[in-house]
Amino acid sequence: MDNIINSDLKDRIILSLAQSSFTYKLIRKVGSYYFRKSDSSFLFWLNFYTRQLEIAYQKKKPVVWASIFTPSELLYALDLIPLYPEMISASVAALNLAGYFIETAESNFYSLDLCSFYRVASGMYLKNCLPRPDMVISTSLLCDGSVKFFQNVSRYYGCDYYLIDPPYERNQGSRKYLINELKKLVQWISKRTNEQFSPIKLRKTLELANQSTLLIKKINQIREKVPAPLSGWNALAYPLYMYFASLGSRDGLKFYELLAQEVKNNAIQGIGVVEKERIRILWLHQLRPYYPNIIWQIMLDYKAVIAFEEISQVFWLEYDLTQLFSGLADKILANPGAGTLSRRISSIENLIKKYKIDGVIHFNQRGCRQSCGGASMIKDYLKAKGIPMLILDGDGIDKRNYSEGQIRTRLEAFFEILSQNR
Amino acid sequence: MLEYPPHSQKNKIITIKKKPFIAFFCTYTPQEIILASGFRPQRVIPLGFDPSLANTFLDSNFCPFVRSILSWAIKQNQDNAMVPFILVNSCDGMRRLYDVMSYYFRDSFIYFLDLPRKRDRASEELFKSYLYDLKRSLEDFTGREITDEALQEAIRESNNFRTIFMRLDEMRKKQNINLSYYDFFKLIQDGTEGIKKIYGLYPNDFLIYDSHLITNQNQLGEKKKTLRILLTGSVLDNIEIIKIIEEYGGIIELADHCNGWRYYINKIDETNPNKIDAIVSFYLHKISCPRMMESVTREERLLEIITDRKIDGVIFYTQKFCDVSLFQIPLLREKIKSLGVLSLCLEGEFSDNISGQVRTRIQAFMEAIEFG
Amino acid sequence: MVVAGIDIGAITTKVVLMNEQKIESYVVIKSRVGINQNARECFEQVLQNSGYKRKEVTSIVATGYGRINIPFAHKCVTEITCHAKGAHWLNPAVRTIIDIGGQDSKVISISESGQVIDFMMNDKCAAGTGRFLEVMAQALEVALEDLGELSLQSKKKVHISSMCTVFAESEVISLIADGYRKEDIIHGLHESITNRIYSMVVRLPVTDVIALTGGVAKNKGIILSFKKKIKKKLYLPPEPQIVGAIGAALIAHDLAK
Repeated sequence: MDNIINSDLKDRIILSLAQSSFTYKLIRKVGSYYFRKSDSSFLFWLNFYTRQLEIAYQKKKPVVWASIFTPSELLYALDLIPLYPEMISASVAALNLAGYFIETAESNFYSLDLCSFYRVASGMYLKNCLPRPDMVISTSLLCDGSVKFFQNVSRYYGCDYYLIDPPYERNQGSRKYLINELKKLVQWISKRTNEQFSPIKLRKTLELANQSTLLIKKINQIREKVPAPLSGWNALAYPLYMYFASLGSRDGLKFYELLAQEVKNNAIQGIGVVEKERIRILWLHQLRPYYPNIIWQIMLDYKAVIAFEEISQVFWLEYDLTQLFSGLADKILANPGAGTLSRRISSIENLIKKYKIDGVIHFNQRGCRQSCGGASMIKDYLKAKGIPMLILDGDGIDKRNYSEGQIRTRLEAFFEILSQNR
Repeated sequence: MLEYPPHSQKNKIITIKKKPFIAFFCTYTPQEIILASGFRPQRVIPLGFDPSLANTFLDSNFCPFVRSILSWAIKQNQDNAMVPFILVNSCDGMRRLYDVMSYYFRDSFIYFLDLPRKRDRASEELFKSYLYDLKRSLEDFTGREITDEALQEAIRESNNFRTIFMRLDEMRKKQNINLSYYDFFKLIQDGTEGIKKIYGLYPNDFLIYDSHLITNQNQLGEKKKTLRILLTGSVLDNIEIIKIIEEYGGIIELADHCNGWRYYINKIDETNPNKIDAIVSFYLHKISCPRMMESVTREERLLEIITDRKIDGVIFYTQKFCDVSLFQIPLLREKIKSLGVLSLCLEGEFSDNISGQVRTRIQAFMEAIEFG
Repeated sequence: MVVAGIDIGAITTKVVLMNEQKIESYVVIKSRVGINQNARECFEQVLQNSGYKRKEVTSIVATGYGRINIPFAHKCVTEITCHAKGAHWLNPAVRTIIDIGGQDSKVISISESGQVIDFMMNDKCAAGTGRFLEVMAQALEVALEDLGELSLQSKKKVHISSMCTVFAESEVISLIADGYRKEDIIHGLHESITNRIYSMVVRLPVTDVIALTGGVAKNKGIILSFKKKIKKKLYLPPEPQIVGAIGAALIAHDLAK
């Protein structure tokens, strides 16, 4: 399969580094020193992330490759190490290594029309750059890619695949079905790990998730203050990782305690992320370009800040600890990105009011049909309400689809409109 | 904003052979329930409606099939001729199509049928509840109850259709009748109307008289060397592709597309007293589309066919931006390669004019297989 | 008060000199590599033509894709805002601007007071831009300036189906080989551009009066094609290429005040 890419020295170095658990230990130690002046929440995340990869390589616990909407609470209750290839793609892009994996994938006939997150992740497993999964779990939230990519992974590694496939409608029938699915899932995992499922452990992780969620809500509430104490640009990076990967774990709770403290401090002192903040933006779609780019600088130039981003909402209720699975099922069904677009639109309207938004930016990730397909309708709807929206075409991972001049012109023109509206 | 006529346009009822029709697009649409409601289910492949007209509503990097459907719908709406639609939640593209259509064509009958990706017991129960809901909606729309007898009759009629095509395919393969794959594929799109036109027979009579067809048709002359091709992918938009492959010396053994083989293969169990159960079981367990979890079984079947029928080459013909097809191609290609068979990847764009580039690719591929 | 607006485009660089909001002089030159040098030369020329000295120019605003590379400009503003300002100043009845430049095309929707409400851009590919016509003119072996006049002599409808400039060029060559008249092909190409732009136009609240700007707006065939497709009042500025630079100069004036 791999006869097109030449394995020269650089490739071999990258691969042997990536495949060693020692690498992640090293990154953690060196990173902690290098970033010692950064926020403690960032350092905590770096620690958490590299530790998970290190443990995964050491095979101390069974490794599961999971999609971002797979309930992490279940995975922790069953003592698994979750890996999130979609998010690992983002960190690879931040290190400017995405091109290498994209080339690998494309030379193995993965079309360049596929979402770049999945192309990088495919390149990574084709190069055996990640710890081998013992099982693969995904949901059909929010896209087809999530179903098919993980199916490919399971076939590539010859391991079992469980798909949670939520129904389109949000009703009692769907709820009952999902609760059963989650029950079946824990049995399915138990069989493969030879570990008895413990309701007590699940209750504990649900409880921890509840506590973390309370903190996320608190942070979201503090972010309503002007000037914005936390920028969406940062929130779409490492905090987003924890949002998907850490609910139900003790580390997750500790992280949110740190983050909440930092955000609170900023708010109390009236420190805004942007000095003399003038434009408040709502960012749509759950990602942004992760390779070095000019968007942040342009926002600073126009004193614009991403006051909030739709993905960070808490759209689910506190888990009822007497019912182990219904809370998780409800959370899956309550996702604003699922079902009809009207759900997403009404959550956006809500956020615009709460965060005193001046303008909305929808990041059109190339290849993302589910999100980009709705952008024009959202724009029309908001236009009728007098809210300006920019559809910004781009790619979160593949730098070849990044054109600085085009992004600059569109963003600046949009900020010029917003500036004159004030 | 495009200027639409006011939203008070009701569905215009267009009839074909005195039966009003409902447009559908996905092979998983339960035609039997539509038939039983008194409507005629008509599969629409809207070639010739410029997909780029839909770019302003959906994204330009979007399945051309979905965009063509919207382009067709926009034209109908402009002509005050919106027909009833049934869309299936088969992929992200269709999901967004439903959002756009239900937002801009508010007074029209546009039904969205959910479809499970799995086929275990729980999924069957879910799909059953969806079909009961569809049944109720159609009953509300038509003002008529859908009886079990009507369902039984509808199942029989659609089974007939499938049987005819499975028979025709067999006869065509054994060269008992002079029917090119191009004409055969065209017949599949035209349905039983086409059969009547060409053979002058009513579909039911066809099953009795097909032996009559065998003896009365000329045997094909001496078989010249042809290259056996397997076509596979999503929707086959322009059937001229088949003609081009045949022109360059290919003979198509099978077109594994949603409007090809997957459309007529298998039959519904007529002995099941619960008609909806029979329909559920049929749709969830038939040869699946790449979108389903069980696409692996289909792939294994394809690999068997490649070996059994000594296929010389495989052409993947998918719609551009069809993610579910694009994800499955690399692994399937590898497996086909390990059988010693070459494959070609082509992308359809719902263009009514097949470009020189596509022709060249096909010709080069045929040459590669012939001399390889 | 003397001010200047500089519009650095991919194909041409334009400078407009204004005094108390009246145009004193303007220059349009072909853009070459070396954006800063280009802009300087253009600026020097306009000063020469007008008789003003460099130090008399109080404020300079740069726009266009090369705007960030001009150190002697006091401010950079996008061409969207500049075109809006310029077109509205030329004709206060303008509510929409369709700008077809060398390398991109855009549709801008403005309010009564000339403020930008929304915009759409096509800068992903050459189709629908001046570059498209440049490539086709070469393939047809006619001068770019003659395209308009030739298309008016078209008698038969020819449809160019390719979206991409490169493939459309191949299509044009095939059409010539098949014996189609150049005039008919050019007419078809103009329709292609109009259709491309139209798909952007329908996304915005487009109302009278529509200003057509950019180098391509000098093409009579394009103008006719637009008139047929878009049933709204069109306004054709006497010098469509300098509208962005005029807008930049007006903004320079506001800045200096």
